[in-house]
Amino acid sequence: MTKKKRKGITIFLFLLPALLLFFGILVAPIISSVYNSLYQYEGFSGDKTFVGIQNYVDLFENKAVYDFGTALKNAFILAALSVFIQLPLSLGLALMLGKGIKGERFYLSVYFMPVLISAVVIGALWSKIYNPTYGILHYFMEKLGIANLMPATGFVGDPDTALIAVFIPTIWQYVGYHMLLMYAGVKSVSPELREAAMLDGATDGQVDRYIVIPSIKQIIKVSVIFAITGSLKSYDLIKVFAGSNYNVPYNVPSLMLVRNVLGGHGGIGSAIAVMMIILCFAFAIIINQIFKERDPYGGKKHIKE
Amino acid sequence: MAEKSILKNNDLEIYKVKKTNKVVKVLIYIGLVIWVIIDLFPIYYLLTFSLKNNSEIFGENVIGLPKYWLFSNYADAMARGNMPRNFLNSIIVSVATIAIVLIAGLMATYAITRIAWKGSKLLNSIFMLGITIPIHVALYPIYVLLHKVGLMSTYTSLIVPYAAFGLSMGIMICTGFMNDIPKELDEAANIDGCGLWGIFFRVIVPLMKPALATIGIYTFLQSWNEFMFASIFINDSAHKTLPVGIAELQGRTTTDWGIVGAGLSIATLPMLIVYVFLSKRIQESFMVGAVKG
Repeated sequence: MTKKKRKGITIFLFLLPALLLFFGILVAPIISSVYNSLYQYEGFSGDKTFVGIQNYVDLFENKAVYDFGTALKNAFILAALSVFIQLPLSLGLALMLGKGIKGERFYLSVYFMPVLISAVVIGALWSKIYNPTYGILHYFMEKLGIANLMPATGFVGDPDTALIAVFIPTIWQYVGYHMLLMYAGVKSVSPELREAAMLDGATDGQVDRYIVIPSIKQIIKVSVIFAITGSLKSYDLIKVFAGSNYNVPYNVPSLMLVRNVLGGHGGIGSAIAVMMIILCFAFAIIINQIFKERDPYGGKKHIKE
Repeated sequence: MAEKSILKNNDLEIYKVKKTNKVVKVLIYIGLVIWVIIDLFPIYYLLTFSLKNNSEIFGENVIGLPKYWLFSNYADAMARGNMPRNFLNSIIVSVATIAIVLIAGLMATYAITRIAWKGSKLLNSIFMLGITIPIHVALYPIYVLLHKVGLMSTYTSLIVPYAAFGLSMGIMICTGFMNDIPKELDEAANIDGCGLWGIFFRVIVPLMKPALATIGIYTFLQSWNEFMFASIFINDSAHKTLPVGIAELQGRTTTDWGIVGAGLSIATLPMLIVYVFLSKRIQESFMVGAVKG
């Protein structure tokens, strides 16, 4: 009895620091965000009125003030670019590196490098690259005789191209991250399997298509989840482009969140935060479902004797 | 007889496959080199314009190496911003975050994976949910709390949230490594008279050094580059971290590109130099984190 009790206390003591951090800083804010999102706050005075789900309704309905729909749409565009352009690029590079190339480590290290650079630096650097008068992009376009294709206010300044222009550096920065994950998977495919397929007359492309890609499916799944949740959360680089301006064509949920938190609109801010958690979890679950093992006919695999 | 001819045929096949491979290989190299250029060119551009004056950057010498290597840009960036201070602050915050994540993570993982008790699996999955939770959720509640308790613009206001949000990944990485330590070691130590604490300090911790490096690197990069909390919770220049310092330098200095470039380079180069020496280690710490999730 006492021994058991002592063991229990020991376990609790081992867990204590982690529990304090996790429940104090992670779980409690989630609960308080859900609670706060049901109130309207007047600045930071602490005065609040219960408004039910009005904040959530306002986010979507009150387009003149919030226009959360557009911010969300932009985040989804970034997610789609990430899944359909960035990840295929990463996969392509990983497959190429997996073929036993000379200088493999060099390529790998170069591709991963941008991941380590602060997104603030990347944002500042690319805003120089995009500069409509002095930027390197303008310089190249001039050399090619297509400088007139650049909008007068630059790609970031022009509402039609701003979204894409701001998202390109984000995509660029993380190609190497997903490449690294996929490369680890590609490398874990046994060389015997590759050789056997080659002996049977499979081409490089066929080996990739029928052996390598299916065996790294789980890693691709992780990449897809990270790419989508990462896009929903993206902030740093976008904030650097926006500067102190919040009314930008590339507005995203986290930019709205910060604006409302700093502006003392805790209720709306909390509603945005809650929406972000729900979306992150929803996408993680959906992607997990999509990648569930299926039999060759597309049905879900079921256990059969 | 028949078998022999098949063998011969196969030999030919292999030969053929290898030959077509050469064309594919050339294409692969071209593809790889193109992405190297796309990756490195912006960084080359940054490093070169950080050493030029405006007339070179703006037209005279846009892509070449600097004509006069203006290292004075670096001195100006240091003086104009508050970079040495920002640097020091980033180091303090990151190191403290790593220490907390390591201690809390190791202890929790030990209790979850090495001691048998009801509910350990459940608690582990609760911790793992933390990986998906965006740090944004905590922004408003912590902002309000910091105001209330008067901890705005302190190192604590960044260290504690960073540690909390880095903890789940820390526990996940720890679990992977700790499962590789044979349980027989615990039993042997127990027979020799070690209690749970003794096993933890004398057996587990010394064997977890590789895990500590992995978690340390991963946590370091997360907290070193974090921008949202750092830009909101810190209002005095004495506590601002590097990303905030850089963003302010970039926002304030619109005319002198060379100085901004120097500032950006100062923030980036130390990381890249460390990366040159530890590239494998750093890459591994990112792989462990994702592949096991």
